[in-house]
Amino acid sequence: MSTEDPGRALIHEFRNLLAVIVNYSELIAEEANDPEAIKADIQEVRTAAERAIALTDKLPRPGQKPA
Amino acid sequence: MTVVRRPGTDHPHSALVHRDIALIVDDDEQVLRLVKRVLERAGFECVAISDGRLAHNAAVEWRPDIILLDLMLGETTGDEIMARLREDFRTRLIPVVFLTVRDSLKDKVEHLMSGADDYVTKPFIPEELVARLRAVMSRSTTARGLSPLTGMSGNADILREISRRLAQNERFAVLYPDIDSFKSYNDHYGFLRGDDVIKTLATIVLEVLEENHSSYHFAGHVGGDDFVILTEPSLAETVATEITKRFDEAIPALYDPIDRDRGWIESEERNGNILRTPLVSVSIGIVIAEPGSYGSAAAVAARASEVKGVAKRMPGSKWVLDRRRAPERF
Repeated sequence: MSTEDPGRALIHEFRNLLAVIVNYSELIAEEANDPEAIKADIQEVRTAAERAIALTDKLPRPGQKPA
Repeated sequence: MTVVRRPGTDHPHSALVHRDIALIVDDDEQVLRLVKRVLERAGFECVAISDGRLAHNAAVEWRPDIILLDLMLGETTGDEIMARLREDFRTRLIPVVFLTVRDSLKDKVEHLMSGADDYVTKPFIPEELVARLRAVMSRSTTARGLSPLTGMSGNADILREISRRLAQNERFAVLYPDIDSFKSYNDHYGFLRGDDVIKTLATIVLEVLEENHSSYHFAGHVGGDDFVILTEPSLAETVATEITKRFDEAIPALYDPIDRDRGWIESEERNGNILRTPLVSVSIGIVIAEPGSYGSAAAVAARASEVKGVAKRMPGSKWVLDRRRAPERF
């Protein structure tokens, strides 16, 4: 079992989401002729971005001490 | 968990079109889909799992050509998974690449030192990821000294493992199987069919070890028709019996009907004599390495080879257990 620091886990997840967004954006750029693939990839980007927004709720608020 | 079934049989040598299998382990489903998508486009077959605790079992089941591990996996870590993979003879030789968002130089060096084959950070450049995986896969066969024919550990790895067990004063059994009359088969049918005989034995060895699983198992291919198996002493006779039995069952199918039916192959010697050679069989020498009884891996191997020589003097498939007292340390 790992004893994972919650702060590090948050950063890990956040960076994962940014990586997903960056990678899918690149895939979209290569798929100019395949509208279905582009649509599916944009959905992935959107999902990742929405997850990133939800994740900000778990971040410490300004002025608030981190949990 | 995404499961992409491997078509046809699971044995890599028998697949007509062999696609490289990548096992991807990441607790983020979106990352899993992304990596899977990129690798599938590059021609890999992918097994993607999100629960790190299942990674080891998946590696055993699928025998991937390469494993991609995230470092932080919630309940477990990529390091823990890699340690388990390296302890198990069935998975210890599969190259592992870490794929993670952590990118400090210190992390990178630490993981490469601890046995990872490469380290790629997210976000990754798809072409680079694929190129690195391909490079790791082609390097791992030669760098680890694997037998190109059977994909098993080669001499260096075998000696290292025996030395490690000796150094830790473990009590273990060494089985030394060797194929009888192999040269005649090779001369008669050609080396390609000879390779099939060797691969048959390799497959049987791995199957028998898996069915009698123990964490003490190790199997290597010395070269030619020689193999080395390490196991716990209590399993040695069972394993040897099962290997000889299955080998005898499998072998007739590797002969032409005429030779199979009469039970021998005929060859003409230089002086015109007709020589009859029986079907190939397997002889196994077994030595129990008692703690402190052998001073070197070479000494153990030499003794096992000697015992195998005794077995070879008797016809057919059989095994011989070294009943002599453990030799003085030499």
